Amino acid sequence: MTIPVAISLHVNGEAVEARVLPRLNLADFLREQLQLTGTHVGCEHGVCGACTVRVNGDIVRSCLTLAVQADRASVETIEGLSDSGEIADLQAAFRDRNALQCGFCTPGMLMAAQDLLKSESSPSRQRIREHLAGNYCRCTGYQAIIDAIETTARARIGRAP
Amino acid sequence: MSPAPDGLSLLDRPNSYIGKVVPRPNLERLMQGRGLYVSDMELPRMAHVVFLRSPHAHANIVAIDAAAARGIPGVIAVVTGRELAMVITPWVGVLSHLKGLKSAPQHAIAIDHVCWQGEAVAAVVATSRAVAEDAAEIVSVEYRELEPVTDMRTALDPETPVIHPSLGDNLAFERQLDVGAVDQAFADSDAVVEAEFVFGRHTGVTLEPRAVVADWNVAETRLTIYQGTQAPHMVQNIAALHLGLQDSQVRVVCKDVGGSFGIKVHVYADEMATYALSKLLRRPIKFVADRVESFNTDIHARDHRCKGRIGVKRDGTITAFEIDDLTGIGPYSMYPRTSAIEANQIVNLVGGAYLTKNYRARARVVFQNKNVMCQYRGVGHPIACSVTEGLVDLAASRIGMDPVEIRRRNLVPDDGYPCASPAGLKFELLSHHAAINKLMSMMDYDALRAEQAALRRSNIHRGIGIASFIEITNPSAAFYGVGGARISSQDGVAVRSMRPAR
Amino acid sequence: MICQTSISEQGQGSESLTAQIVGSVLGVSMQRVRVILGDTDNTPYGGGTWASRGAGIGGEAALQAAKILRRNILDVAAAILQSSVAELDIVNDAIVNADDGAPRIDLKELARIVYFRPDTLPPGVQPELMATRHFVPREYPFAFTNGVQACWLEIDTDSGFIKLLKHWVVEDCGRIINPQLVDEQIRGGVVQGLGAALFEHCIYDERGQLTNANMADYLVPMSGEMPDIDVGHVVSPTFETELGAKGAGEAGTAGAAAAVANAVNDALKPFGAMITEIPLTPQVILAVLGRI
Repeated sequence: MTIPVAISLHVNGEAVEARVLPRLNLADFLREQLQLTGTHVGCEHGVCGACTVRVNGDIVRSCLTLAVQADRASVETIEGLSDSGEIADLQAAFRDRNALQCGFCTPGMLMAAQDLLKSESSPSRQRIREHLAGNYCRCTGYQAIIDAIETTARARIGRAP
Repeated sequence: MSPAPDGLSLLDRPNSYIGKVVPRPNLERLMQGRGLYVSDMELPRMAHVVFLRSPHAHANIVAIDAAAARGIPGVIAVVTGRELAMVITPWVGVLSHLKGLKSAPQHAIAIDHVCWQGEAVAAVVATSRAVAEDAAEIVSVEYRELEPVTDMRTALDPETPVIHPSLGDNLAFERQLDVGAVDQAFADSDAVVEAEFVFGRHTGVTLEPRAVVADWNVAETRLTIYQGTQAPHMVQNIAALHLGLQDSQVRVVCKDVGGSFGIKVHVYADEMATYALSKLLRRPIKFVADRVESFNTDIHARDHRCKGRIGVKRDGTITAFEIDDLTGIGPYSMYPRTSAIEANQIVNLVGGAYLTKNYRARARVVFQNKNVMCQYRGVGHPIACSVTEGLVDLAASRIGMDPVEIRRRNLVPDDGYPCASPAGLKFELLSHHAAINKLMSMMDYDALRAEQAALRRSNIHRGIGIASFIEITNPSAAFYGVGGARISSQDGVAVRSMRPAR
Repeated sequence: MICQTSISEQGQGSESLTAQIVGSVLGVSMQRVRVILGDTDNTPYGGGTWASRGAGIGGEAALQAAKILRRNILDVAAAILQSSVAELDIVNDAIVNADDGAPRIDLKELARIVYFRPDTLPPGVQPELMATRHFVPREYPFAFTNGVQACWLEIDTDSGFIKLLKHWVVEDCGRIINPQLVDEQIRGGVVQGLGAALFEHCIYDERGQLTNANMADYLVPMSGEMPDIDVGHVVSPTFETELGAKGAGEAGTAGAAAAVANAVNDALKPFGAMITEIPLTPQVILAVLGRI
């Protein structure tokens, strides 16, 4: 319980070696040891989605994932998705539609939205609402977020070869 | 104001941004995950505080044994209410313009007497939150449980224990209003309808929980408070006042805030404790509530039972409103805005959109051994609106009138301003009828009614609900200042022109 | 332009409304207005953001301060150009002729002269390129707004579940500075009211224990259950300020639960049922229908 364990993983493409206590969750590891504070902690019991990150390509609740479980995994956070340009069009749509107010849910929302758009190119509004139903937002009431994702989906189809 | 050459005001000029949709500046950092929330902050030598909280709603603290906890590596201090009281003074959440409002002094950490499940009884400060939580688990507290007051309906009964004996009873505040000729109006009505409206206590659930980093710099004798507060200058004043400092010795910095909605405009005991701990321990101290703590200690709101009566004539004229509102707050009135404002607003607002001048109201605010309660987005408006609009619908139903029609016949006409409501509120210019007209066309009310009727025949039950409301904004000193609160009703802006480098 | 304001930002747009007002009054582009808030060392003394006062009070202070600065800039420009204030204007970051709009001197150049070459100014001229103004409501204790909301919903009388189909708000908050930000405040406020109407309840037992202090048991509105919300406006400005803006931050929450409760009772009329409590959980619906 009190003996740190060595882990070796990639975070946003960068190789990371660390020693972590087994009980440390991935969200706290990212925030406290790597100072990647874009991943937010809202509940620590897997409901609010503020801690959403990508592990080996799939979105997960990093508050319910132990850092030791990320050994040898590829972890991507909002900083990585943002810097690579992968979600630049989503971010622009969020800005234009004011799909964020305080911004605390936004990293998780963007992660979940990108996850949806990668697997479904033309989701209905109801489908978007369902996919985002694991991400709590208190500021927007959701409509602007749904609008921004819908707009992005249409634009991506428009740009597809 | 000097008119511009083309006769337009400064705001209506062609390049004006007023009335335009423009993207907010500085959204990029929020969307990149590079916001500056207090919960993200780290300072050199910063320590973390975890509060040991009472598991009982009402109890006396008999003894606290922290010897074992202090021995855990990484634990810096375990501090009780009595020790912290030497650094920070208690406060009382009353304002003089709320006549009769009374409340007991509240300490940053409870001393001897805990009054709600979740109230802090000790602070554990350590090099990490995890170590502090480990240590908190082995602090031993002996309690003597007391009978809790948990039902507002019986809080004032003689058999119910009084939470703060020095106050005499559990009544925090009572207000009565009787305007016009209510009894005569009811007697003259063709129907009088009544109902009891019950509202479930709820809370703000901001996604970023409350978080503070307090940094007492002993060399500069200056306290810097990093906090997601809606009122930085108020926090500055209050922290200085209770820590025995000059205002100029306190700086409050607020960058990004993960949601507030009124939850973060109040002064919380655990936040005050954090400021005091920084001064006591002479290093930065960070407090971040976790979600369970948030539910137990963020202010709750709108725990009300409101009896309402409405009189109506066959032609739809509303003759009178009457309410008797009961609300159960926590064991203390919150500081500095008080927990009587919500009830006070309800008395002020019920029936306010309507013509009738006959209005009687009573509101009572009682203490309970539950979490503290105070202003949360909307404050008393949702209750006043639900009661008023619920009564209006009841009246319409009783006389067989369409709910929109009864409103058209009773809302203050758009050309009837300025005027005052029965509770004495001054209205400059409102537009109830223009608003209803616009709503009717936006929703195509008649089409929805037809759809409702058609679907009912297939046993599908849809409903339309309408609610008119009035709302308080831009408050003057009449709101808090007149009662002695250190809350400013004015704001200032300083603007200067720079010489850019290129 | 650097603009320090005593109102605070939680995501509603205090920074934006300040920059929009200052940019409009001064005739400069918003991108050149940097707003500083939330620091008691670096902002004027003020109340902050609560009770829907940021736009109406903070906005008016921004307008008045910008007006003074505009006049001060024109005074210097008139001195430099040997013209008069009445003949000049500020448009698109430059001093221009008021009558034909011809550019006379760029604001950057004017600032350069003021800060680095005041020796070239006419004798006695003391430029002041900074202005501070405060505002406090004096005439009306509150600037009242009004609105009306409507809810359209369907009740499943077997399960007690309520489906919110659509919601409307018509709001009159006086002069609107940024329509998108106002509408989004209304939407967010409505959803908080919908949460109170249907889901949210801090449930205490008789011993004063909060039994649902977590997000799995205290239900908050998530995107799957929320309706689209259409927002419309009427505009009745306040004449107490030049800006004419009232507040809008809480309007959505004020009327949403009332509209839902009235809609539920409207839907249940054929059953002769009447409910006057919230939250309107499936349990409450089924109980009033006599199903449980």
